[in-house]
Amino acid sequence: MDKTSFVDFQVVSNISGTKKEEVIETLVNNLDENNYLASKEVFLQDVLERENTLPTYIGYEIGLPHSQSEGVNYSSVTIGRLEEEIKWTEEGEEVNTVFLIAVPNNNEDNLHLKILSKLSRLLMHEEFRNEVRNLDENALIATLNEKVKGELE
Amino acid sequence: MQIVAVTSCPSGVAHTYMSAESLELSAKNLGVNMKVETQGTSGIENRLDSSEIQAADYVVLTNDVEIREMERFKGKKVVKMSVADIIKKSDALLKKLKATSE
Repeated sequence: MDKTSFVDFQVVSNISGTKKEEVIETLVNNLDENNYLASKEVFLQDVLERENTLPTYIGYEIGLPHSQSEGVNYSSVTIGRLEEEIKWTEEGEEVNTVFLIAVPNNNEDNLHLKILSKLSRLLMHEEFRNEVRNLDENALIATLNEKVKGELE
Repeated sequence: MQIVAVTSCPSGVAHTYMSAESLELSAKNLGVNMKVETQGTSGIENRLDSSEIQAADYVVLTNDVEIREMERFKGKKVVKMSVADIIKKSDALLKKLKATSE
């Protein structure tokens, strides 16, 4: 990982879980293995709590779980691409792509919040959503760096 | 037609901006003059000034969390919606407001 960067992007493809909690846990485990987290348990709990308050379904078969949490050391966005659609809300809305946004609790710089707001805006564009679904992992990370970070430099 | 909007959401890092972008995209597609203020974790961005509010035919506000400085919109025609509904239905909302104002 690049710890000098304000936010890093990760892509996890071919996720095979059938439950929302399971998929979120897979993505959290990936972050933990790559040393982005101070506490895997705290972050996972915060993300799931936020999900239970208001599910982060945004349409277009995308879920956007996010938390600013004491369990996070370094800001990151993980794109999880699922093999099969899974149910995300009580109403039965399904997702095949998940963006997990992790932000440390004690951040003093607003830059990563700007990156996150930029990412949120990009998700409303069809061309970007197609890239997220179809590009290979390296090309997708390059696109994210260009479109999300590039504009802030 | 001119519309101003303010968006905000419980955590302030995602849906505030998605709903703002959704309104801006729909406005562009439908030829509506739109300015959206965001009240997120970064504070108030793209702040609406009093002349912009005065000139607006409608004010669109999200209703998931309290909007700051509500006194600015006294006497205006205000439409309140959840961020989720705005993200899903901003085209329909703007079409409806357009039809109503004509």
